Amino acid sequence: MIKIFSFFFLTLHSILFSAPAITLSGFVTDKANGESLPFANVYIKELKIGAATNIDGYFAIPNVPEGEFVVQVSLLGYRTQSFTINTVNGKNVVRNIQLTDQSVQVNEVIISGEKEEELRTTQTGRIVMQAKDIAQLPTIGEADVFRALQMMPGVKAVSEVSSGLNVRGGSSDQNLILLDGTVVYNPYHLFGFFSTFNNDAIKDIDLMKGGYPAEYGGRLSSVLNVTNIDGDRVNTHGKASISLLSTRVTGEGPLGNGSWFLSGRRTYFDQIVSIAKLDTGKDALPLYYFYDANLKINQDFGQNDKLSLVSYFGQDDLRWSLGNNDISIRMRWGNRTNALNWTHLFSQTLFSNFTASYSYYKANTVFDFGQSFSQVNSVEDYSLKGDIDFFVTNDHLSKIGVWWSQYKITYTQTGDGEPYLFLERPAQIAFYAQDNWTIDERWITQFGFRVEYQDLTKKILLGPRFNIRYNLDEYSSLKFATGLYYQFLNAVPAGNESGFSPFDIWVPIDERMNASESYDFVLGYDTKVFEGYSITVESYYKKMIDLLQFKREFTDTKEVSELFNVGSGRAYGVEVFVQKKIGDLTGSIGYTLSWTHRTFPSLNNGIEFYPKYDRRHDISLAGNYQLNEHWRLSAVYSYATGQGYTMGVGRYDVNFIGNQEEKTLAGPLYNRRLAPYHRLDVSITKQTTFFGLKGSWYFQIYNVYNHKNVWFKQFDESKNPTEVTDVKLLPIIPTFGIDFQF
Amino acid sequence: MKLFLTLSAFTILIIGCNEPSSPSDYQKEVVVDGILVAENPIDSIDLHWTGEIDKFYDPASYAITNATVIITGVGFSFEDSLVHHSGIPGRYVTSDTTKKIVPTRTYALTITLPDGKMITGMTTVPDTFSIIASTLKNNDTVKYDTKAPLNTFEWSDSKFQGTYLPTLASLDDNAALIPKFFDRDTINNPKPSKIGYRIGLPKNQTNTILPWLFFNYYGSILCDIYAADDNFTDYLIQQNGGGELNQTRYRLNGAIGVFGSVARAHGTIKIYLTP
Repeated sequence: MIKIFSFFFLTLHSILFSAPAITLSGFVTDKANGESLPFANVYIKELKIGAATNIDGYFAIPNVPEGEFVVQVSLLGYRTQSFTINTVNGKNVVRNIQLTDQSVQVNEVIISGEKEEELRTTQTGRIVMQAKDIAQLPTIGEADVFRALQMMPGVKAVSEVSSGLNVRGGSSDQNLILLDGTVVYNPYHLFGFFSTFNNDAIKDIDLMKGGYPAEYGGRLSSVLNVTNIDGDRVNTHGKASISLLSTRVTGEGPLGNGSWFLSGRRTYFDQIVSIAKLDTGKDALPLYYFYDANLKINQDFGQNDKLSLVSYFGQDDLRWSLGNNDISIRMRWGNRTNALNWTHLFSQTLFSNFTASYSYYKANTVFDFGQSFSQVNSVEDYSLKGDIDFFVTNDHLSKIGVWWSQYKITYTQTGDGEPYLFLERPAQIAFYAQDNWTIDERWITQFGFRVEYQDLTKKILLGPRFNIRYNLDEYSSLKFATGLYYQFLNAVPAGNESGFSPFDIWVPIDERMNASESYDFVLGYDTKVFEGYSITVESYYKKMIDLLQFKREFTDTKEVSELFNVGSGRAYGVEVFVQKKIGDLTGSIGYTLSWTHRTFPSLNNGIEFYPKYDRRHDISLAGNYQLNEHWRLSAVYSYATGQGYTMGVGRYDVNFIGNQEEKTLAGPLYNRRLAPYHRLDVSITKQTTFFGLKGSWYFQIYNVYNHKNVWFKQFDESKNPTEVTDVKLLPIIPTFGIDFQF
Repeated sequence: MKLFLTLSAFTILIIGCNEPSSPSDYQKEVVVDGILVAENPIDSIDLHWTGEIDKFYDPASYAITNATVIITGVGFSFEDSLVHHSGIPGRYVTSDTTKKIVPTRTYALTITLPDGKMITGMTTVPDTFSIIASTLKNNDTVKYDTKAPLNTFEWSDSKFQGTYLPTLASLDDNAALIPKFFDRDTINNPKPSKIGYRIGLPKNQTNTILPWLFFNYYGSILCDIYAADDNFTDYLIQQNGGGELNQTRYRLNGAIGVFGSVARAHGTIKIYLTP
C-alpha cells in the first residue's frame, strides 16, 4: 500500500517540479450568473485532444504543442463557443470561458457538444439532471429530486408514498447521498414522501447507479451527488413559489469576489389545521409542518483559491393530541449540514479540493400517556476530505484523495423500566487513487482502488474499481465497469418496509460483524446514431454479501450484532433508456427488466426469496411539449410489476395464559405479487407576469385516471375468516401553484 | 441498428414474463398449543390442523383427536400420557392431576399422529417467583387518571426465564379494557375485551408501571406476572408486520405453535374512573 501511494506522490512531485509543457486551463461558467459548469467539453479539434470540466467547472489540457489552435467549448443547452489560442511563446494559457444558455434552441452545434462529452466518460449507469428538468416533471405538490430519479431505469421507489430509492436491487440505505460533498443521512420530509432537497436550491444532480469510481465509497449501491446553486455573481434577484403544500423563497446575488445564495421553504398544513381548529377534540388532526433552508457563500481569493461555505438545515415537526389530550405524540426529525470547502490550484495541472464538514441527523419521537415513551436516534458525522486532480498528460487524469470521518451514533429508548440505549463512536478513514487513461481514440479506461478502515471492525478493506470504454464509432460506444464496495453504516427500517423513513434507525457495524460488501459487473451500450436522441442499454449483475436485515422482534439487546439477520443478495437486469433532449417535444422512455434476490439462513427456511421491492418490469415515459413561448404541457406515465407480499397459507388459534389469539400462517416470503402499478400525471404551465413580475402558474393532476394502486395487503387476523384488504395508494389529486421572480 | 434494438426489446420482454411461481395457498400443518405451568399439573395440550384463511375457522372441525401425546422428564423420572378430552375436540389432558410440573426441570413432548408422523418439542420450566412490591395493595383502589402512573408492580427474579410477561385481566363482569387511544365515549360505553399483556420487557427487568400504552382497565384487576421460558418468549417477541404478514419461528419439530412453560405470580388492584 505504501508503495502505491509513494508512486502517486512521486508522480505529483514530478508534475510540480519537472519542466512544464504548455497547458491550457481555466474555469467554464454560465455567462448569465457566473455559475460553474461541470461536464462541459473543451476540445482542440486540430490536435484531437480535450478535457471535460470537473464538478467545479475546472479543466486543464496539458502538453499542448506550440502553435495556433482553435478551441471549442460545448455543453448541452449552451451555445458552443470557439476561440483561438496561440502557444508559440511557450507559455501556459489560462482561459476562463463563459457560456451562454440556449436551452430551448435546436442547434446542431449543441448536439455535437454533448456527443463529444459523452464520448469521453467511462462511467456507466450515470444520470445527470438539471433542476429545470426536474421542475418540468408533473408531480404532487413539489418538484422533487428523488421522485424524478424514480422515473429512471434501475431506480425504484420503496413505495409511492416514499421517496426512498432502491437502486439496482439495493435497499434504500445503500445509497451515498451527498449535498455539496457532505453526507445527508435521512434526506426525507413528510415521512419520506418528499426528499429533503429543495429543487429551487439545486443546480444539478448526478446519480451513479453502479460501477462508480474509487473516489466514492461507504455504500453498496449508488452515489447521488446533489450540487446546490452557487449564487448569481452578476445580478441580485430572487424567486418565490406558492403551492398548495408550501411556500418557497430564494435569493441570490454577488458578494465581494463571489456570490451568495439563500433558499427556504415551509409547509403550512399546521397553520390550516390550527386556524380551522381541527387540532383538538375527538377527531383531532395532527399539526405538522416541515421547513428547510439552504445557504451558500462563495468567495474567490485570487486566481487560485476559492472558498465556499455551504449550510443546510431542515426539520419536520408533528404534534398530535388524541383522546381529549389523554395522549400526545410529538415527532421531530431533521438534518443539519455545514461544510467549508476550499478549492486550490497548486498549478494549472494540479487541482485540489478540501472539505471540512459536519452532518447531523436526529429523529425524536415521544408518546406521552401518563408515562412517557420516547425514542431518539442521532448521527453526527465530522468529516475531513481532500481530493487532488492531476492533469498528468493529455492521456492521463489521475486523482487521489482521503476521507476521514468520526461518527457519534446514539439510540435511546425510554419507557417503563431501565432506558435502553447505545452509543457508538466509530471512526472511518478511506484513501483512494484513480487514473483515467485515454489509450487512443477508441479505448478509454479508468482504474482505481479504495482502501477503507473502520476502527470498530479493525479491518482494512480494499475496493478496486475498473471502468473501460470502447468507442465503436463517433456515435456509439460500449462500456464495462466493475468494482468492490463496502458499507459500515446501516439504516434499520423500524417500520414494515413501507417507507416511513423517520423510524429508520442508523447503526454502525461493530467488531462482531463484517462490513456489508458488494461487487458488480456492468455492461453498457450507448448511441446517438439517431439525431437528437440518445439511447442507452445497460445490463448489470450485482452480488451482495453480509447484508443486514433487522430482526422483527421485541428485543432489549444492546449488542448491535444481535439486532440483525445476516444474509446475502444478488441482483441483475437490463435497462433501456431513450432520451430526446432537444426540440419542442422532449422526453424519455425508460424500461427496466430486473431480478433481485435475498438469502438469509434465518428467514424463509434459508430459501432464496425476492424482496418486497423486487419488480420484474418497470416502464416510465416522460414528455414535455412546448406549445409556444408561453404554454408547456408535460406528462409522466409509470407502469411497474406489483411489489411482492407474503400470502397467508393457513389459519389457526392458540390459547395461552387465558388469552386466545387468532393467527395466520405466513407462506414463503413475498411469494405473491400485488396488482401491477400504473399511473399518469399531467401538468400545464403558462409563462406570464404577476403585477409586472415575470413568473408562471401551473396546474397538475396526479394519477389522472384515478387508478387505485395497492400499497400493501393487510391481513386482519382477528377476523374469522382472516380478512385480507388492499390498502390503496393515492387517488387523483389536482394541485396548482405559481412561481414569480423579483 | 434498428433491428438490433427491436430484437433486444423483444427478447427482454419474453424473458421478463418469467414471474415468481405462486404455490398453493393452503398449507396443512399440525398446530401444537401447550404451556406448562410450574407447580401445577399439566393443563392441556391442544392439537389442530391449520385451516384455509378464506374459510371460517372452527377449531373443533380441525381437531386432531386420535394422536398419542406423551410428556416425559429429561434427566429425571416423569411420564404422563395425556388423554383426549371427550368434550373438547383436539384437547389432551393429564390422566393424573397429582403429577406437578417441577420448576427448573426440562420436559419433552412427543406426539405421534395416526399416520406415524412424529412431533417433538422440549421446554425448561422457569423457577417460581413472587410479587414483592406493589404501590397498591390487594383490593386497594385508585382513581383512574390518564396523566399519572397508577401502580408499580415489582417482583423477584426467576431462573430460566426468557422474559417476564405481565398481564392484566378484569375481574368484574361489567368492567372492560380501555385502550388508551379511545376517547371518553369508549370509557363511558366500554366493550368487554380480552386480557391485555405487555410484551417486550427487557429480559431482566422485574417491574412494570401501569398504565401501559394500549391496555388499561378499570374496576378490579388481576395482574399476573409470568416468567416465560425461552420457547414461549421466542414466540411472543416476534412482531407482526403492521397488517402485513411476517413468518413466525416455531420451536417444534414437525409442527407449528408453542410448547413452552411459565411460572406465575399475581396480585390484584382496583381502579375507578374519574368522573
